[in-house]
Amino acid sequence: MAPLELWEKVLVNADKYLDTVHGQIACTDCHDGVESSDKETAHEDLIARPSQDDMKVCGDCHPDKSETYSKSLHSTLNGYWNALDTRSVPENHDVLAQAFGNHCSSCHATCGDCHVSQPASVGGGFFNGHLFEKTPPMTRSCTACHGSRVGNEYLGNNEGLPGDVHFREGRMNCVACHTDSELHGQGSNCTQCHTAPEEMTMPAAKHRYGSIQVPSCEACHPNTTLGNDNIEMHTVHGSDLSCEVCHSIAYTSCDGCHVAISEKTGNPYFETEATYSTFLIGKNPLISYSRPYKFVTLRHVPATQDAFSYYGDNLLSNFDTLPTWAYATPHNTQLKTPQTESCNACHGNPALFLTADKVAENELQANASVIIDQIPALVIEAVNP
Amino acid sequence: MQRIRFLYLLVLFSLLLTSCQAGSVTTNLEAPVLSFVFNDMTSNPSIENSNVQLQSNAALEESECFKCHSDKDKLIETADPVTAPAESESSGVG
Repeated sequence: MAPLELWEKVLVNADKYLDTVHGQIACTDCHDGVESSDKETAHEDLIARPSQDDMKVCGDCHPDKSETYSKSLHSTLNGYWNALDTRSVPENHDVLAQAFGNHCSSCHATCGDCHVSQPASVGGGFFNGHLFEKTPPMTRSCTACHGSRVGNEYLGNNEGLPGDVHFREGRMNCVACHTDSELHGQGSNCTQCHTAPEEMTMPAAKHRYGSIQVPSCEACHPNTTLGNDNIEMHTVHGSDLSCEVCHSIAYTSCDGCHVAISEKTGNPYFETEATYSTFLIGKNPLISYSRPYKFVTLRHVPATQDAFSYYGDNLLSNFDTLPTWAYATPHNTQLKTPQTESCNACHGNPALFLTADKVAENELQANASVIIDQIPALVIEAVNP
Repeated sequence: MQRIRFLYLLVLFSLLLTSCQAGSVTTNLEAPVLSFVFNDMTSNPSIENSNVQLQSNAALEESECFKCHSDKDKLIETADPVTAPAESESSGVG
């Protein structure tokens, strides 16, 4: 979508907005500022993004959402923090926090970023005349931030690679799988849906993939892992393989992200060394109740040991504690893929497996837990007489 | 006779090629996305227990903020001068 004009970004839809509940609240109740026909006066102490700093404005009427959202990944960005903390030592956390503030914290999403306006990364501006969208518009909200990997894969924007079948055939948007409960961090409600005794007693997840709120293929396709659908490969492989191992196609990996502050402008910037297409199967580094698979698809993340060298030497001194080939759930599911063509499309095919020869020498230790030592042997398929 | 045989072989060859062609899959970005909505499992918004004072439409229509922000021409007229956005110094895929 083309960037909005300046006026378009802040034009309220007069016809529709007044018919909504939010249209019955005085502008200054949320935005402060001053009632005046003079622009400068009206904008004194204006809060352009009322949900930016705390949840008070929205939380007044939506207390259940605001209570949990402040602990959600969209708000805390704990996914980044966990990776940084794990790869570093406590003495370096303050310096890394500074770097995080300069380069990473802009990914923090507020209520308004999903329900009222486009994120700054696509130029900002109202989705639709300040109307509050209960369901964020997919391409103007979700994939505006999650675009370079998930968005491009799901929508089929990578040249030569079709979009996800759930989008192509099912026209499913992001919230069809990523529920209100997951996106708002409503952990206390997990057991409303997940009633199995094991799940109700599970400890808190330490990773998003360990959470029972995260979507799973099996939620809609429950028979596949049990081998109850008369598909031989589902019976043979059971839950040894994540669904993506057979039903995903090539996806994006990245190398070598470095960050710094520009000497010229004083602005923070990043550089990534390479972006390329991969499809590699490795060992599951995050085995959990929800994801018991032995083998999963792995994506190279742009983490690198000297990513923050601008801020100090060896800040990620425990770099090898996490793999750089990370558990991946490519969003380009297909019924038929090169892997589903035959047993030996995978068995005996070294090109599909993350073996040591495909890992950079300085990352071998970090990836020891995911590297495949021996690829599965060729299958001698029975020949009908 | 030879011409008919040639045409027959040509048609047969074309059919063979067509059947060997890999099925192409395209993504239609224009078709509407189905309106899956949040499966909202939590309580509804509560205005009664909040500090929010609801106003009549007439009151809001008289608001200076609303009058300006619902008037395209006024917004264009009062917009700050456009300055060229700072060129990003980042490179590669973020």
